[in-house]
Amino acid sequence: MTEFEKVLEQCLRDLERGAANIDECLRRYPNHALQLEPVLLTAEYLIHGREARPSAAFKSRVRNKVIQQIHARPRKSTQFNFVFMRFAATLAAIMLALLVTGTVYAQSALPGEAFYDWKLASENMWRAVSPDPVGTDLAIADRRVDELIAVDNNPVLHSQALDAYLEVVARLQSELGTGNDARILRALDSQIEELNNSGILLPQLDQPDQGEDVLPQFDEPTPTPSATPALLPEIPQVNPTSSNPTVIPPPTVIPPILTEIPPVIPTDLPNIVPTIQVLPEIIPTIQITLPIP
Amino acid sequence: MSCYWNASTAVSFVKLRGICLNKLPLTPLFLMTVINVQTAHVNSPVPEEASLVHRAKSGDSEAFARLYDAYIERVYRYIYFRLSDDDATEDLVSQVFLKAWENMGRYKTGTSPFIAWLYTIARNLVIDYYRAKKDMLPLEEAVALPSNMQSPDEEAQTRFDLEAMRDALQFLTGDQQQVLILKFIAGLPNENIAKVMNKQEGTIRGLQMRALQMLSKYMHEKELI
Repeated sequence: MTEFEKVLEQCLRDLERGAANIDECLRRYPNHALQLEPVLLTAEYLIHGREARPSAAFKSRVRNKVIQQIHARPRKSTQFNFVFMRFAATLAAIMLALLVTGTVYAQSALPGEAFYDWKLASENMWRAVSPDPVGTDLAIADRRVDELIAVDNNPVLHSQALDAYLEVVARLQSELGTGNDARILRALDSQIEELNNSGILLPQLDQPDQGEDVLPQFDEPTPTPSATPALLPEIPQVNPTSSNPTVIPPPTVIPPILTEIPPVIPTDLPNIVPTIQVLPEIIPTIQITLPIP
Repeated sequence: MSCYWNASTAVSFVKLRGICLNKLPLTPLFLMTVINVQTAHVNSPVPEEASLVHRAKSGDSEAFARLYDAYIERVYRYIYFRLSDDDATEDLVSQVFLKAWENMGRYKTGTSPFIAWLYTIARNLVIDYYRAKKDMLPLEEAVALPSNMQSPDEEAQTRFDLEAMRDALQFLTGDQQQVLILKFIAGLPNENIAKVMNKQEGTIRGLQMRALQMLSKYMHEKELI
């Protein structure tokens, strides 16, 4: 802001407040008086614009027009809208809070409990929005395993939990061949081991398609071949608790067997002269065509 | 043509187009009186404005009609000096109030005066008007300005003066016109002008300076002052 602009602003402010008039401003700033006077006169001139008024006819005409339009388009009370919107917003906030709290609480529900269906619904939602459905299914399968172990004492709930687990396993089975085989198989192995450790036996799982990717089979363990006693050397019984310790026989001296190696007698190599036998019928011939001058 | 003297306020108008120059020195007492009276008149809030606005928001058309009566002159003045067409002025004035009625729910009481909100609506309507019209009507098409002066001579002279002022303002850019009209004719403080024009207060001050200087230069070149 230049010096003149500051002076002008001050004068306009003083004029507006009634703290000074144009002459006083000009006297106060004699260096700017020449430049200041026309601008202040212009400002003063503009103030007379406040005398512009519409005629009574104009006001009446516009008023009638406005009132007519207003009655044609009555406004609803904003007070009602405000109260309604406030109530709706509060209700929505409460519903959201309940939904979140209920969902969090439902995550620890077990089969047979009130919130278990909510838990399954939230898992379906989770799976639907998850960028990694296989990973989500693996996590869900872990949950089913935990549930299965937790309700193992109740046959009805156990059956329900088992069905739920097998459903997830079937879903994972369908994901095989999509590049997730390693982590699916690893997770299933781990879950089966955990269930086995808890004493829960799984039924035979469905046979997957005969293809490149095969689920691990729950085959009967192959019997370890038993050793035939006749084939084994007789091992002397060792009884460490016996009062009469077995007398260990002295080591037998095995006489070394020395085989005489026959001396190598070098023989003269035959004098072999390589010869090439050229058959007359396979002698290659070259045909040279001379250019015509 | 002789110069006109308004005996009631002792004002000698500065004339445009070289017809009548200011022959009477503006005395300090006169200036202070005029500025104070005009500012007080223009800025004085309407009694029970808050209550009227509240009732109008609830759909009370009578309350809105009272707001119309209170603010019609100020809205009229703003649009009058922004346009050169009296038919359009009338149309836009009615549109300002209709828009205000339709959007009363959006006006937040306490943030800015109700008149500042009306000026914002008027400003947008004027911008839309020029955008649609592209060119301005010549001043000659303007209808005679009605006023409440006593004698026909006085009324004619005032009408001429105001039309000359309207003419001079058309020389400025849209923003310059707005800032001068809102500051000196509507009497709004810079803070409210900034809200109406959606600009910073410092920008408004700079705009006022340049607009005043430009209008002053214009009047000087035309040998009007």
